[in-house]
Amino acid sequence: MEKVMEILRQMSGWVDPLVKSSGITLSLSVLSVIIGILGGTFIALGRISKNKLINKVCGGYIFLFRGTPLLMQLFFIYYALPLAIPAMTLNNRFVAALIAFSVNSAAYQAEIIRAAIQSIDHGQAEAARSLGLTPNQTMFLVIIPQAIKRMIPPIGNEFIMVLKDTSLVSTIALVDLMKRTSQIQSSQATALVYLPSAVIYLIFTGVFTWLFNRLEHHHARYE
Amino acid sequence: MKRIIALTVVLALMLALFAACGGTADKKEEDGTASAGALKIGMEIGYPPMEYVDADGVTPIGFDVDVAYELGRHLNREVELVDTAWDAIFTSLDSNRYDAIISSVSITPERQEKYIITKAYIANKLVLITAADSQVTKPEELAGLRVATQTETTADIMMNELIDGGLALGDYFVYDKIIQCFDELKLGRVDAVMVDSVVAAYYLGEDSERYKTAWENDEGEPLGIALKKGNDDLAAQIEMALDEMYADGTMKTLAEKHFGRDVTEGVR
Repeated sequence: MEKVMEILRQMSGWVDPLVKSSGITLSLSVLSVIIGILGGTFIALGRISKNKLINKVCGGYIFLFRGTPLLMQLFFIYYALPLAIPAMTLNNRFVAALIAFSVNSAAYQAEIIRAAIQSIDHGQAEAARSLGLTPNQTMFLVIIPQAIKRMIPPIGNEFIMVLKDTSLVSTIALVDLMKRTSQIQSSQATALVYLPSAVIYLIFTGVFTWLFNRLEHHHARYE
Repeated sequence: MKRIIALTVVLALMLALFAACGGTADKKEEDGTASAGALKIGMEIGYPPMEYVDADGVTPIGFDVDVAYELGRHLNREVELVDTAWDAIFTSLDSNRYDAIISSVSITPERQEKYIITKAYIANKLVLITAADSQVTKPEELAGLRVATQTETTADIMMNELIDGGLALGDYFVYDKIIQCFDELKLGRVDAVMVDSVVAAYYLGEDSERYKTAWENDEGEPLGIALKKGNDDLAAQIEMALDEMYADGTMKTLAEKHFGRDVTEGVR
C-alpha cells in the first residue's frame, strides 16, 4: 500500500510538466485539422469538378501527400526545403510542423469530404436544379449541408489520428507531450511516466470523441 | 472458371507466404544455436565517426563498431550489434536487450553509480562549435544565443545545469540525432552546438573554414563501455581484452584509421 502511495506521489509530480507540454500537441492537432478541413474542401470540390486540369491537379495533390510518410514531409519542409530553395526557409519550428500536418491532413480530408458529397442522392441535386438553383447554390445550400453529417465521424477519426501523429514533432526539437514523457523517462530512469501520459492522451481523445458525437447529433436534426 | 483461377492464385500466394515465413523461422533457429554465445552490443548507429552506417545504408561502420568486433575476436565470441535510439540506450541495457553498450558513453559519476563502466578506451571532451566569426569563447557567454545538443547526452546534461544555474539562452533545442544539430548550425537556425570532441572533429573536417571550436572543456570526458550492475565476469573479461588491444597496438591502428591520429594514447 505504501508502495502504491509512493508511486502515486511520484506520478503527481510529473503531471504538471506533462500537461504544459501537451499545449503543443493540442494546438498543433486542432489547428492543422481546421486548416485541413478548409483546404480539403477546396481540393474535394476540385476532384468533383468537370474541369480536367483542376481535377488532375487536385488528384495529384492527394496522391502526393497521402502517398508519402508524414515524417518525410515534416523533414522535407523543415530540413530539405531550406537547402533546395533558401527563400523557403521556415525557421519557426511550430509553423513548419503546422504546415506539414495541415497539407497532409488536407489530402486525407479531401477524400473524406469528396466521399460525403458524392454519397448524397442525385435526386437532391436534380430537385434543386428543377427549383431553379444555380449549380453553386445547389452545392453550397443543398448538397454540402446534408454531406456535413456524413463527414463528421470520419473527420473525428482523422482528428484522433493527427493528435497521436503529433508525437513526430520531437524530431524537429519541438517538445510535445510524447517527447516530454520520454525525457522524464530517461532522466528519472523509470518507464512509469507512460501511465499519466497515456491518461492525458485518453482525456484528449475522450473529450474530442464526445464533442464530435455532439456535432453529429446536432447535424442529424434534419433527418 | 474465373473463380477457379482466382482461388488458385490466392492459394499459391498463401503457400508462398507460408514458405517465406517458414524460411525465416528456420533461419532464426539456426542463428539462435549458432550464436547462442554471441556478444550483444547496443549502440546508437548514427553518430559519426564513432558509429554510423556506410554509404550502402546498412553496414555499420565507425570506431566503436571496429572496437566491438575486435573485442569479440579477443573474447572468442561472435558479436551482434543492436541499433538503439540514444534516449533509450540505458533502459534497454536494464532490460537485457544486449550485454554491453559501446556507443561513445562518457564516463560520469552518475552513470558509474548505476552501471559498470569500464576504464576509458578513448579520450574525449565536450566542445562548443560555432560559426567561424562568433565571439563566444565559453559556455557562460551563450546568453541570448540559440544552442543545440543531442537529447540525454552529457552535452545536454551540462547545458541543463547551466540553464538551471541562471544562464539565459536565447533558445535551447534538443535533437534525437547529432546530425540534426549540425544541419541546424549550417542552416543558421542555431548559433552553437555542444558536442563530444570525437564527433566534432569529424564534422569540422568537412567544413573547417566556416566553423570553429569556440571552447573546449578542460575536464576530459573519456568514453567507456557500459554493462549492467552484477555482470562482473563479462566486465572483467572486457577490461582484459581492452588491455590486450592496447598492448598489441590494435587500438592505435583503429584510432589512426578513423581519426588520423592516436586519440587512445595514454587513456589507460
